[in-house]
Amino acid sequence: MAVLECRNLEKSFGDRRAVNHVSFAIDAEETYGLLGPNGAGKTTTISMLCGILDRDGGEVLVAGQPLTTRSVEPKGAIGFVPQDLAIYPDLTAKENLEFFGRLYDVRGDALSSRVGEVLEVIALTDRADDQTKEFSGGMKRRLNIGIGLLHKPKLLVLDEPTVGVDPQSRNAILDAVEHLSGEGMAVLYTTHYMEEAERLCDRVGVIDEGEIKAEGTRRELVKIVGSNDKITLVATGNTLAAAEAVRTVPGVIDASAADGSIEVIAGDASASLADIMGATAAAGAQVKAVTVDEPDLESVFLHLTGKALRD
Amino acid sequence: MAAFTLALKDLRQRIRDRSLFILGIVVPLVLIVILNGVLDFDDSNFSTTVVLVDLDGSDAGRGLEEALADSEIALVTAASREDAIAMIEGDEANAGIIIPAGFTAAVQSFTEADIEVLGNPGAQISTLIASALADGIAGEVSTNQLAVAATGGSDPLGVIGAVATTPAPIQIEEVAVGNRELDFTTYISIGIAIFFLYFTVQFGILSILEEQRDGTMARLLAAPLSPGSLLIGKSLSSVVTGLLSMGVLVVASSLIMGADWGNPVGVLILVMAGIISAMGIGALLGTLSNTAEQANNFASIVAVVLGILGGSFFPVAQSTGILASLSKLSPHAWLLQGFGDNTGSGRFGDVLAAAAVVIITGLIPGAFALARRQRLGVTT
Repeated sequence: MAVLECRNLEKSFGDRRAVNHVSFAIDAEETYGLLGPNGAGKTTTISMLCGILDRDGGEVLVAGQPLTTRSVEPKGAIGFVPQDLAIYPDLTAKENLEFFGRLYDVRGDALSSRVGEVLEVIALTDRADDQTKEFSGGMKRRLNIGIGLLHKPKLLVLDEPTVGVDPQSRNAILDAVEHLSGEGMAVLYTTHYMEEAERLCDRVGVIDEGEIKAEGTRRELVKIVGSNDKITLVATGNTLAAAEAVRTVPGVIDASAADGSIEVIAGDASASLADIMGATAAAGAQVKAVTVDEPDLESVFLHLTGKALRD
Repeated sequence: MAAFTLALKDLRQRIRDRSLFILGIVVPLVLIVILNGVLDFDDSNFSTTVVLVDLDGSDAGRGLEEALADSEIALVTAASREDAIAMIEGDEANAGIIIPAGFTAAVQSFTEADIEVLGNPGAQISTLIASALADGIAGEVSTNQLAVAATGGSDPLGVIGAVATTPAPIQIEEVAVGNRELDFTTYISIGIAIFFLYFTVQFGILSILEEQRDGTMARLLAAPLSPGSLLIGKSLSSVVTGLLSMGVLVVASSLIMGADWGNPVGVLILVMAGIISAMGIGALLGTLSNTAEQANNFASIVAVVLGILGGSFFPVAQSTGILASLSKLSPHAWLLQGFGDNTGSGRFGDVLAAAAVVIITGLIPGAFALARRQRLGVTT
């Protein structure tokens, strides 16, 4: 059963349609990315499926239960990490975690224990009793995420958690998110950073102007675009013969030799690379370096919308 | 349960940022002490000295001395007008009355006689008192003249004696109207406490907008709170801060300055009514504002206007004209009236009418605020 299922979500602000028939589902242990530029409708979509914003139409099911703004139980299954920092500056890190933990009915020893665990995960144990107004931006971001994790939600919703974060903290956040789906948690991750979507997400929904333009794994999305991988082998020896041999490898579309290198066009570089290397060696060429250029989600987005992700 | 969690969090924040302590307790208490010291109009502490120059050696002068013997007005005598002026300028007396030579003879011959009042520009109340005393003498003389004229003037001394022994047809009796009047210390204590109650409670309810500003509102709305928990939690913290603030001010002003707040149950009823009123007004201001800063500014303006109009600093309701009527639009005026009733009668039942009006001043704007709650983004 899907942890989150949303069907035909609709939302308008005045005459402007912010979200238009958005549908997707997320299974347990799956990380789903909503990839789109600023203003694409990501935050509005998230606000509706977390029960923050009333929707004009559509349906949201969390662990099989319908969710509206007035729901109580289904909301308990969601851990929400808003894009903007949502912590109390005059409370300590521990007090912030305890307060939100209690709101999710985590109490007593379970709360104390869980607060300790989360503080360790977000590396703030030694600052637990400091007021958060004294924290750096990265520390606040980590606490912002920690609050969403505290009650061990079935679904963690992260709305652009790395915006405005320094590279070091960003990596720490991405590492943490990578581990979460391994712990059985479903993750919905919105971003306009193509690299983050490619690194973290099992499936990606490309969203623009309030509509899901395409959805699937990275590979599936790239196929929609119709692009192939380009493999460049820097090689010595008989590169002409090697190129000839590589052309016969299954999955290879074309191969050519030029200036001490062999350029190969393949449908899926990762599937064909081992055979290509074998064919090259058998043909008497020695490979010194390999570069693989796969079509990325940026090009997918460009193909689908006619504009770049950061536009 | 979530509402209590939210209320406790709010209280912790209010205590930690010291706003409750400063705005709810320290500032009002300091103001009460200062105003009580600077503007002490308590009539039990009032005294003045009037210098009498009786150049006529008349009965009127002696009668005045006897009449003022047990009053707060000290009567001293001087031999001449110049001596009296010197005493007033030397602050030995605050005002003076001069009965001229030949005053009695002039009265008996039905010719004009003047009584002179000496005033001090720095002691206007004392001057008014001296004028009133002179008016009293003149009034008595006029009565005697009228009586003598009415009897044909055959036995003027006998007629005057008869007038003096005849009981006055109208007796003015001073009656304690304690259910309307508060002594100054109590008045200023209640007025200032109410004034700051509106600040304290309104700022509490407006913390909803601060949650929006700080981004935590989205997190609260995403949390599994039952419908209404958010508003109940916020209201609860406002009630507690209001009760805490007023409780300290009631006890402190009673112990330190001897303010008389009256029946404790009546005090509690009126304080709760004030809290409900402040919450309703604060909620409406919140829905009319776009930011927490704007809402706080609105709340400050409204609290000051209502406080002054309602008589938190001076008894506007006792004035005449449109101002007195307008003051009835302020819940502060009704609260002051309620506290007056509570102090005077000592029966808490007497405050219910005023408390009901105060509650209505909160329920009406509160209803408008609820109707506009979507503006706040409060969906629970």
